[in-house]
Amino acid sequence: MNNKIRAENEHILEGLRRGDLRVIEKVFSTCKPAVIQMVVRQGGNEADAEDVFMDAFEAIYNRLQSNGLTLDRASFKTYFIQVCLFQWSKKIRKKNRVHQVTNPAGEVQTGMEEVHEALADLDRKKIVAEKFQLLSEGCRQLLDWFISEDKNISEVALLLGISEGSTRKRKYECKEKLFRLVKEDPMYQELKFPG
Amino acid sequence: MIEEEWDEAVDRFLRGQMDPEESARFADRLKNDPSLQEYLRLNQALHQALRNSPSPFRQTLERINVSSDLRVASKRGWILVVVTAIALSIFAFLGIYLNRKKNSGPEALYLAYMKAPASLSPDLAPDRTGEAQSRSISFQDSVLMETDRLYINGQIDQALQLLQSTPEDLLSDRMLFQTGLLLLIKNQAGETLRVFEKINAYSPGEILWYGALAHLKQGEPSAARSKLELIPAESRWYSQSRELLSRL
Repeated sequence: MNNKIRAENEHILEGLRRGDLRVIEKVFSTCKPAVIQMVVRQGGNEADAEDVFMDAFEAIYNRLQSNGLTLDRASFKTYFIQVCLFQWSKKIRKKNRVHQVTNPAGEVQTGMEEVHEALADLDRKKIVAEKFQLLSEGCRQLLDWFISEDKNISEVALLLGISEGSTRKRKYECKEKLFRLVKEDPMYQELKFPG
Repeated sequence: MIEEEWDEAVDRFLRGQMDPEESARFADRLKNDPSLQEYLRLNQALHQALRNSPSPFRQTLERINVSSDLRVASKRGWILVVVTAIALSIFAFLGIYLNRKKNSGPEALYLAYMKAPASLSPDLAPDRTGEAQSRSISFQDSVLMETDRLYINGQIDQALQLLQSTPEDLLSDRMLFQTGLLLLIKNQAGETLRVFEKINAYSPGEILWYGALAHLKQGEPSAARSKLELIPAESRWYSQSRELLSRL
């Protein structure tokens, strides 16, 4: 990788780390059309491409913020498209499509390990949000009080009119129900990095 | 299966409510317990899903995405406007060009300039001047007066028949001219030109003008041009002949 690409990569990563809007907009203008083209060529539509693009962007940003990211094998754009391709391959499996997902550049998805966990976090969050809606109204209300409204055990116990011990037990049972539903989702297994 | 007490620990950890000692114990357990790691991740996902969805960065991305889509739509809109304007201009230009071409054909010019007169011999009409009754009327004038009456009544065929039934030796140049004019009105331009050739002395401007129109009717613009160019300046058709020449 030449010095120009390296300098460009550093500029983009540093800009993203700082949340520089100009850099974020530049990534949009340089990468989004290529991602749309790649996803559409692989049997998806523009909405699919947009989801993949946003997930990849958020995952790269999260990874940068938590553990940093080094790009020493490819330009940022190539890396970004590879992350999108990786995310799209998961999405297409979820949709049970028969299309064979191929890497148009013929490149091995190298460097995905770094961003994989960030992508998995986003996917996990989506599955949890989806399964949360399948819980009973009582469970949803109880978890909302604990998590969204940040209430403690005694406050929730008071609202429910039961003991703190029973409240603790009920919260645990609701979570168990939710996580069982999550684990039953085939996509959840996809969140483990292949190989 | 995670025990209930670890659920409490995970909640405190995620809420940042652990003291350093408890936090260290929790970290130790976490390192060696894959099921606790998974439980923590699921709880993190639950917290993110309920507390922070979408994340602030995702919200920024959504905003930029909308504005970039709007910019693209706006750019596309402008391109559409420009392309539409160009297409309309081309259509308008073609329309004008084809219309002009259509209107500048000999037949179109004939239709544009050929105006049948209100009457053929207004000077001979007794009810207009009153003079005809007070003088003796020649045979030719009486034929012209009757022709005019028929023409004014819309009886063009009868008017033409009357003129054509007049013996040749009694035909005046004026009668010949009116015969030619009526033939032209009846769209018999070739006949008109043949009749006009027989005229010896009659208003040259009238002969040349209607002769030119007859040529146009025949689809002969160059012959029409030749006649128009000869129309004298004192003729009532002079200005129209120049205009028609410019369109030929």
